[in-house]
Amino acid sequence: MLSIHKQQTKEGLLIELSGTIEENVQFEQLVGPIQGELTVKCRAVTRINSVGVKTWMKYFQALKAQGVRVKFIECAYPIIEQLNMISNFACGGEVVSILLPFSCVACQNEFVANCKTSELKASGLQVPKAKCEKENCGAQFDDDPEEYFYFLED
Amino acid sequence: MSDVFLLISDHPEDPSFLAEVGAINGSVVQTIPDPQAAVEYLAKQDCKAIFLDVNSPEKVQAFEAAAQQKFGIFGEQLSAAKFHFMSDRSLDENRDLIRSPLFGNFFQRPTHDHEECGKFYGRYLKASFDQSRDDLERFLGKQGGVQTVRLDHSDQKQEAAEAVRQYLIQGRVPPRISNIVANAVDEILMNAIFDAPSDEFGRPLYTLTERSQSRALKDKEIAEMKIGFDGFYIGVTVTDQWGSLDRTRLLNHVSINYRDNDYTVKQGQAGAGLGLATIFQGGASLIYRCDAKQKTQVTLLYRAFDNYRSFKNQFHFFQAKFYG
Repeated sequence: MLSIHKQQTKEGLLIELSGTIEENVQFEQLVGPIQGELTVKCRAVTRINSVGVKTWMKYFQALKAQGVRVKFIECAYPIIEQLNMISNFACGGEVVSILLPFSCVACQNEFVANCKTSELKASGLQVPKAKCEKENCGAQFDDDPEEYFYFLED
Repeated sequence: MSDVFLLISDHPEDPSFLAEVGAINGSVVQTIPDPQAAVEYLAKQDCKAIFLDVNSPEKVQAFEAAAQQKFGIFGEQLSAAKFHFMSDRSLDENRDLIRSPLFGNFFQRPTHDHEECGKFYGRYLKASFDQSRDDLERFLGKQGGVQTVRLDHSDQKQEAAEAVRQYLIQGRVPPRISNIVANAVDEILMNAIFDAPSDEFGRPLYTLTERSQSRALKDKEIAEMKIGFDGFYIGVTVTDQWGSLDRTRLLNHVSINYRDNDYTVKQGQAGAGLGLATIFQGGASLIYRCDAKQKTQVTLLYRAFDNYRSFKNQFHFFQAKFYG
């Protein structure tokens, strides 16, 4: 199940998606009318199934056709996986920032770090260093950088 | 006398992989790199499994032509279930292969831990040869604690997927991996509930039905899910009672790649056509067994690594067996 938290900002509407994007999700009803641009925060998306992908693309392609500017921020890995698997998944929207997954075998800990795509591109798609709150954390990026950043390559 | 596994390959890494597969199955591995000589061998010796290097299309064609000339297209020696295609490239990079009448089993060669991967493949192969119990129970054994769930309402699909996620998280499987397995379960349950039901002429009943439709699943529509985890491997089997799976459609769906081609939302189809490719490209071993007009059984196998990077790059395979 997906829940949406909405907030009107100076630029437009900010929505925070939380949960699973699947066949029961109706973006039009959940999001409602949009004034200005739409910013979609995807930090808490846990998974997206194939019909959820279809629903997503129908909705965001329609927004693109209407001329609504869309930004995706704090994209969690289920969204990154789709961005990497489906070339037109962003439907013309701008992916502003993504969450980078890290894991530390020593701490038995998983965590994410938010990173702007502009900074990643400027660094030549290098994974920034990250640590959890523990002192001797040996956190490593828990994916293949080439695969994870594939959608950012020119 | 031992069963024989025939290896038709001159790839240097295949013997160590096959040695493990053969050892687990108590089988002798006979290596014959030359396709023509392999056909001659097959004429004299029945082989339980045939492992064919498909890196070179010319070699595959040479083998197919020689084999068909020797045995005929429908020769028992040429059952697709016996053939195991091995490639350096992934299935979506090898789409031409799905047109081969011999295509039944496929894996991308492991890039490391050949022996470990051979043990995995050999263990599953052994489980699939023994017809006395379900593959999953045989593969995971008692330690797998395989549980069965029957779904008699379409709304139970998401509950089942979430239950799988929780089950794995409780088993200390990392959340990201648990989510991926839950998503795969969601997809194969969706296929069992919406794509499998068909009328007496084999025409699908719910292909055009929105996947959000809430409906009771009666009689043959009841789907069954089995899940087990032995601490090392995660296994899930979903069974429908229709046996309506179309081989060509299955192979097309599982081998498609939308990375380089735009995905188009098609009107008039309620499904997305994305699920199987996502599952397989996401690291699952995906095993289909279709008994025509009786049942289709889909099994997912994953090695439960403690980090996603290893999980995603794990050795995995695809099998499709059609009977009747």
